[in-house]
Amino acid sequence: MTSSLILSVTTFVYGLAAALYLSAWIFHKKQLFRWATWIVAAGITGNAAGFVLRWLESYQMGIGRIPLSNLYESLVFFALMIALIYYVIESKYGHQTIGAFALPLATLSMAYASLSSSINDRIQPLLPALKSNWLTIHVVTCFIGYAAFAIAFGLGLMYLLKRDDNDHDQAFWSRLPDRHFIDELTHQMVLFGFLFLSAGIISGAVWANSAWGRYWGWDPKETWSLITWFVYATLLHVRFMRGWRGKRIAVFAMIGFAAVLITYFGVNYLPGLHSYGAG
Amino acid sequence: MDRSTGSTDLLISPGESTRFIRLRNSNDTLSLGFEVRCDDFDVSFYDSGSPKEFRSSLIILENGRKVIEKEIIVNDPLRYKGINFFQSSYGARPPENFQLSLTSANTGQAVQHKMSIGQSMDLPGGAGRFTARKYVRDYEFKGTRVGEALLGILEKPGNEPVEIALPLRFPTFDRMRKGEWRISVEGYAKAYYTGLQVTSDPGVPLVYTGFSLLLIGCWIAFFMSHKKIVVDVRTHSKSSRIRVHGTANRNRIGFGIAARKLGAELRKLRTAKPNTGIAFVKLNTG
Repeated sequence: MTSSLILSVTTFVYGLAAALYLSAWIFHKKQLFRWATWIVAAGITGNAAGFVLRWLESYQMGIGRIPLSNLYESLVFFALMIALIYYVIESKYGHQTIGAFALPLATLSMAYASLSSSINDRIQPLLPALKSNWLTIHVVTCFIGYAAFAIAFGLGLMYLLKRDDNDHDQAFWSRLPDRHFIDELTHQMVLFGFLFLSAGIISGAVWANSAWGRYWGWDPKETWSLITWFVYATLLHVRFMRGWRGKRIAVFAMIGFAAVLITYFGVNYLPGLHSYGAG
Repeated sequence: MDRSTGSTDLLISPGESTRFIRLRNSNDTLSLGFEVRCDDFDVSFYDSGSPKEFRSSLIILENGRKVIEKEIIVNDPLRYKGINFFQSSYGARPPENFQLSLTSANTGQAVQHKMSIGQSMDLPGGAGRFTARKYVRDYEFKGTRVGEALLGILEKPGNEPVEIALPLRFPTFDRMRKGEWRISVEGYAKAYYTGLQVTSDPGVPLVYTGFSLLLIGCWIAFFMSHKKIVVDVRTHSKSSRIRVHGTANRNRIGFGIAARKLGAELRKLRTAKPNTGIAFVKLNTG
């Protein structure tokens, strides 16, 4: 299938972009940053093209469904959302060193999808429960949320690595945006992700109610999405009410992402309604 | 049920109907106030063996009169008088219709015959009368499990009726009886029951309103901020000094960028038309 090929190539394009961002930051080369931005744009184009092509291929096979129904397809979409959100951040704020933290995540997601032997990249027809328009809304909202949390994780890591703002001896670290900026942007990403995670959970509940007549079934993924929601809700709460800033928020954003990873991958080892997301 | 909130599972076989619902986690039975009948159930599979679609034809009867007829599938329930019928599951039921084969012990001639549980048939040539009695999932023959089997009674004039077992996996099993006709089961029509989730939930619009408010509330709380911009113009003898100040309670970096952009716009105006005053400045605080 052409789409799988394009997506495999996209993995390497993202990998190249990640390497360029890292080298540009490490060796302080402005020219490399310019290339990196172009390569990310190319990666996003390839990723989106692969997604759309897979959609078309499913129609040619007589299945005809949006490619958002198994682990392979979700990883591809996850990478696309990470790269896209990063691209928007770069064009808005211009801090390209963030790319060295965001692009590796998109690369990992694509690499896991394309290279892992346990992941099936064939286009398979939908189970009866998934045949609904809510599928698109539910998966898209959830994954925009996950992607925003992934970037918040990258920013959290960046914050912890960054030394004191006044420490100008360390030219290497001083090239990262100042800590106040990282902190604010982490918060923005968590807010954005939290809104979409909420929308994802709610759309799932509405879907479950329209398919089975109940909102919530305590399936492992549902339970863990709620845990994740509570972790980020706590982050937002302590920031707003207790004035937590900086290091504590950075660590919190990273813990939150661990909860996202359990919700996304960990629960695949448990039986439940979302088992189609496992392979 | 129709005046309260609740949900329960209803297992019903094609052809059956019910007026009552047994509530989950209790022994209470509630009257629906109408009759629901399942006329047909059908399941189709993909080549991989996973289910493609399962649908039940449901009919609502009021005083024996058909009111609504609908084929329900997962994601497309039937709703009537505040009661919802969701297609939630299905399962195998013991089969009832069997395809039998009769083989003559003398000539090897074979005759096909269809029969259901409870039915009887006369074997050709007055060799007796066979009645299909029941289906067993795992028949035990002299201590050995032989799998699915059809049990029946063979009555022959002048003899005691004998029970005979016809395991599906062993078509020549009945040869042991040394009868004039060897009976074997060729196959059966798979039978299913349909699993319906029945709910009465008048609060759905309220819950959905809550969902919407939650999302709108989050949006307002997170992304709508109270922004203030002050453009301070100080006139000196020959020139004016313009300063842009701004404050926002959320997304300060985004607002800072917008304020700086505004400053840049003002600077552009100065260089473009040095002698004109500033009439309008479009605020884009994003």
